[in-house]
Amino acid sequence: MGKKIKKQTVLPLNVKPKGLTKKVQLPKDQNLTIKELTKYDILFKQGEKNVSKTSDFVEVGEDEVDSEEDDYFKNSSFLKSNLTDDAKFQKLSYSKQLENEYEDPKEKSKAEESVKQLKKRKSIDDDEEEEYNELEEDEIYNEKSDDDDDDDDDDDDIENERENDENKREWKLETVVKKRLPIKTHDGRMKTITQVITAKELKETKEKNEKTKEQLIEQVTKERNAKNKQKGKKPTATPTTISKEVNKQIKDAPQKKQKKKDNDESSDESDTEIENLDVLDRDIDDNEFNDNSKSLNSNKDDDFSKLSEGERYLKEQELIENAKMSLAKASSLIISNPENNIQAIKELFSICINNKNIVIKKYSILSLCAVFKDIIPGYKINKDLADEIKNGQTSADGAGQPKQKLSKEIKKIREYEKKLLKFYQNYLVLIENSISNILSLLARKVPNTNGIGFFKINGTNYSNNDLTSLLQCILKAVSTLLITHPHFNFRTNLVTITSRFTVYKDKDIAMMCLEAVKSLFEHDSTGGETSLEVVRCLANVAKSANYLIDPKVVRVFLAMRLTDVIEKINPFGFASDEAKLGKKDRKHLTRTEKKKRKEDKSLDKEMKEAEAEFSVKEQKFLQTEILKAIFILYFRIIKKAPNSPALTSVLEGLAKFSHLISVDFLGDLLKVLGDLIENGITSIANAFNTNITAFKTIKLHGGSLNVDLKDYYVRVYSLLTDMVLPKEHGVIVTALDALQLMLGDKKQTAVERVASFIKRLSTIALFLPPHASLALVSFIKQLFITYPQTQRLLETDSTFSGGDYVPEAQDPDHCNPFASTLWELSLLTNHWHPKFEPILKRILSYNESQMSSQHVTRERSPLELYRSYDNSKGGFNPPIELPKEHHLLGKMRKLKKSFKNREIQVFITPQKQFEKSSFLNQCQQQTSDKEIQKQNITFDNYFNENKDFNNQMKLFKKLENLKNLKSRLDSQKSQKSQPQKKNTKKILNTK
Amino acid sequence: MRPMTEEESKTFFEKLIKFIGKNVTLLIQRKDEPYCFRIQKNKVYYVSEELMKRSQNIPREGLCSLGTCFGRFTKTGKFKLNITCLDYLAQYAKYKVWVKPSSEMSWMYGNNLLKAGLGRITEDTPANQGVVLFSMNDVPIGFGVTSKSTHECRKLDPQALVVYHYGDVGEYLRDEDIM
Repeated sequence: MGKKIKKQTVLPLNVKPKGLTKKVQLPKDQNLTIKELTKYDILFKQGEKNVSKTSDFVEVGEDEVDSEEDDYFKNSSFLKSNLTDDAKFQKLSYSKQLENEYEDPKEKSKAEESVKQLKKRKSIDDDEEEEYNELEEDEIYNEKSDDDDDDDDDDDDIENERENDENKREWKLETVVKKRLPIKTHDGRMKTITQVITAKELKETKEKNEKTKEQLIEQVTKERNAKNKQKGKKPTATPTTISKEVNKQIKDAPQKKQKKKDNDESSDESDTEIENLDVLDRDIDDNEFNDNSKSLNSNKDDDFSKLSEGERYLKEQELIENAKMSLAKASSLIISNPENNIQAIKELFSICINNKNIVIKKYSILSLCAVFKDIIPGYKINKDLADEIKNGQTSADGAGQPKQKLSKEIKKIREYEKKLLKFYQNYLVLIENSISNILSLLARKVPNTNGIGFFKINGTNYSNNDLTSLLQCILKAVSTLLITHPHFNFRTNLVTITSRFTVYKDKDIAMMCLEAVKSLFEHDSTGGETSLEVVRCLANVAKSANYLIDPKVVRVFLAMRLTDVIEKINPFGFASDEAKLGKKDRKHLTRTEKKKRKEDKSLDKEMKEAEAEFSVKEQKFLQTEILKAIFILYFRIIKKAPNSPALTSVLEGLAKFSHLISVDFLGDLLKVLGDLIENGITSIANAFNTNITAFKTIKLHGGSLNVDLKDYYVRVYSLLTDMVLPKEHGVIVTALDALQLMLGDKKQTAVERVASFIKRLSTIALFLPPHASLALVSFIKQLFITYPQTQRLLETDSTFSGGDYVPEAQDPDHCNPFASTLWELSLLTNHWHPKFEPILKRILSYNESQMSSQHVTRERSPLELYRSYDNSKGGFNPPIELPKEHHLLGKMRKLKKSFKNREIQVFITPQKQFEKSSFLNQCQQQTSDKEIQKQNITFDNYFNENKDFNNQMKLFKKLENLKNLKSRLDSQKSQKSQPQKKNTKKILNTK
Repeated sequence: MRPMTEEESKTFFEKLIKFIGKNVTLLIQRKDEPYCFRIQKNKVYYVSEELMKRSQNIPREGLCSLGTCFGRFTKTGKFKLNITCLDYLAQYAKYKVWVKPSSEMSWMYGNNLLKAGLGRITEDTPANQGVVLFSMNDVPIGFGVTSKSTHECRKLDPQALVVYHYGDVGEYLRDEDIM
């Protein structure tokens, strides 16, 4: 492959990063000083004007990075592997070489040589390497940020390129999507994408749906008219500009041809491509004019203007519905039998491109994505086949190349694969173009009319909202494809797009991409290759954003699944010992042996591809590389941007992966962390994470020497009080982990220090939510067991100590904890939470003899306590218990049973000097409260009811008697009966 | 008994700072009680002000000792720390070295500490730094000066010197008569 093609392939990427980096930096402007801002502005302007002059591949920032790095890590291990040291260059890990490839122009040629050598040696397959190369390459192009508008400059570029990298010509770039790929139709003629699509579309519309076509035309004409009115009737403007461009490109073509003589391989192909390009532009013109003329002929303009807004809306809806229907038809057709009906994808493409309605575009993009998701096979399409496609028809016709005889079925499958790959390629090209167009439109710039996207730039004016939603749609498609088929061809493009948009200013889009990356890390079916690419890409993105990135982006790495096969990492050292050993072995080989070896290797490689499984060795290599890339990013952030918001997640990541850092790196790591601890750390979470890293590594690699990390204790101790702030409450899990590492080991720390930590932790526990303070209390209990001497804190008398307790001291060694007592614990015994009391009682009743017999393992760990009693979501955990039953109540129930539910009378003599017990209260309530009595049919109620009934009956009889008496005496003694009557009434009322 | 002259206090605090760094201020500005340094017969005493005021009633010749002795000035004007100040040094020590039980006795007989006896050391201790030595149970047993930094200590062979002897608790027995 020649560089011209490469140039073309890379072009679509060129514009994006510039806009992107700018955008990325903009929201973070607050963090930058004005000086820096102006510097950036100047840089950008320079970049836009003079890019082409900076033709070599050196990126200034890149050089700076490494020189600084040298200064920074001046400790032993890094010096050993000096990057610029020629002699040791080859010993460096493979990826490191690749990474540094372009950092130094002098080194470059050497690097390439060594890459070539390595290529021969390394057992990884070529594709992977090339993808790495491309990755690097893309980045460089991006950084160069050249401007495509200047065609003259382009030529200079091309020349420079040729001078600069003769070697690169060998690199095959089949995995990068080529633009404007020619499509071969059944009659063998070459057609460009749009040609095919339009032809198909016309046929389809004629055959299928006359109505939709009319509507389409109406729509188009309407928009076109509107546009023309706006532009003041300049319909010829577009064709002229386009023709200009065409002319330019035609001009370019012969120049390119001249250079092409150097490399014969690619000449034909790039020729055809350029022609295609021209044809393509013309095609667009033709289409539009066809549309125009048709609509003019039909004279429907007048009708259209008459339409009311509502009708227009309805028409639009109808249009969308129709489009939906046809999309669904085509998609289901493809999915029902992809091998036969793959041509139907063209329909989807045509719907997408030829509709102006943004909703239809979105639908079609997504349905295309869904279709591809379903029909993409579970394997990577063979390299040869991909080559074949790239080389166009010449090789397919078998011009001079003897072809293997294939059976019919295989031929069919191959044919299908070829088509699929082609369509997929086209899809990706469209995606890339439209992303770049959208970005430039959003930045209110005139997009370079470099490629056709999903929409025509000169068409209708889309609003910002529309563009963003379309962008979101496209990225959704990209990320879905990346997640579901990371093994498939062209994943590099997907990876680049996805990782670039993780730092996009629009939060929704960024989150979507992050989610995609995360799930990719979690279920990487390629055994880590894709993850590695993503990690590297993200590192580049972070660099271009000056490491001022969202902590969420860096936190994504935590989702990485790393197995045990991984080896310990020294991020700036050798990849492994294998490389060194292998080199020695190889020296003994003769030429013939070498040849044989080569053959064996290529055979092995094919076999491996067929296996489609990842050997342990491969996995080990990949994961080591991934981890190394992550660590390099981490340390760059710590070193270059310690004020970056991402520092939190960096420290989290270090804490998580700290067990994988190799012993050689111990000194450097401790130095970096020490600097951080001294002045970089301001939040308690960061302090804890740093401590976890430091203590873990020390514990793993400290070896014979037992060091006391005093500074780390001091920092955590002084920041510990921050934990009471509500925003820091979530840190408790990390805190427990860190504290366990710091203090949990037996006899690692001075008793005094432990005691001051205990004192401060118990003070904090008073202010925390119950589950957190419960965890702390239980941790304190563990400390009491590990350090029995600290139990002096629990004694109130005869405690010797010089001076007073200094609660506000910064240093745990100076606060004199034994002058105080743990009054906090006795205060916590009154906590409403039911679980405090048992734990605290156990602590407070400790003494030496009990301690030895105590089984610590039996009890729940602080973390378990924290988790099980978590009530951060509200409510009570554990739930509130019902009050306990009074013991007399149980007795009564027993009695009742033994008497077989006969009536019993219970006599209670309440004692006045005590408060009423709950039992008595209940009994009294039962006897007094009639409402409740009626509902509850119990023994008591029955008894009371009976009694009442009898009373009432008695009273009733009395009343009757009295009434009789009254009637008798009424006439004689009216005064006598009245008081009696009153009496009876009273009695009744009281009852 | 008199306060120190400027020259005296300079040499004295320089020596003290070598062991406890900035924490010297904590010695003087105590929360509970004001303390001060006084010289009596070439010896420097750390004494609470109340005690100091009371002792002013005793004539200089008759006053044998007061407060805690921190050390003495030699005839040449140098200051030498005494082991009696160990409690305060231990409390405020910036860098600490823990001694393995096997080497404790050797240290307390006045020998230098070897790498073999090094139980634990504070991270980032520089060379030629005053350190306080502890037994593994955190009992202070003396003080000395490091010969190597922590980082260098990692690669040292067991017979190499790590801490030069300066003072140890064995002096309480050995030099009982001159204390």
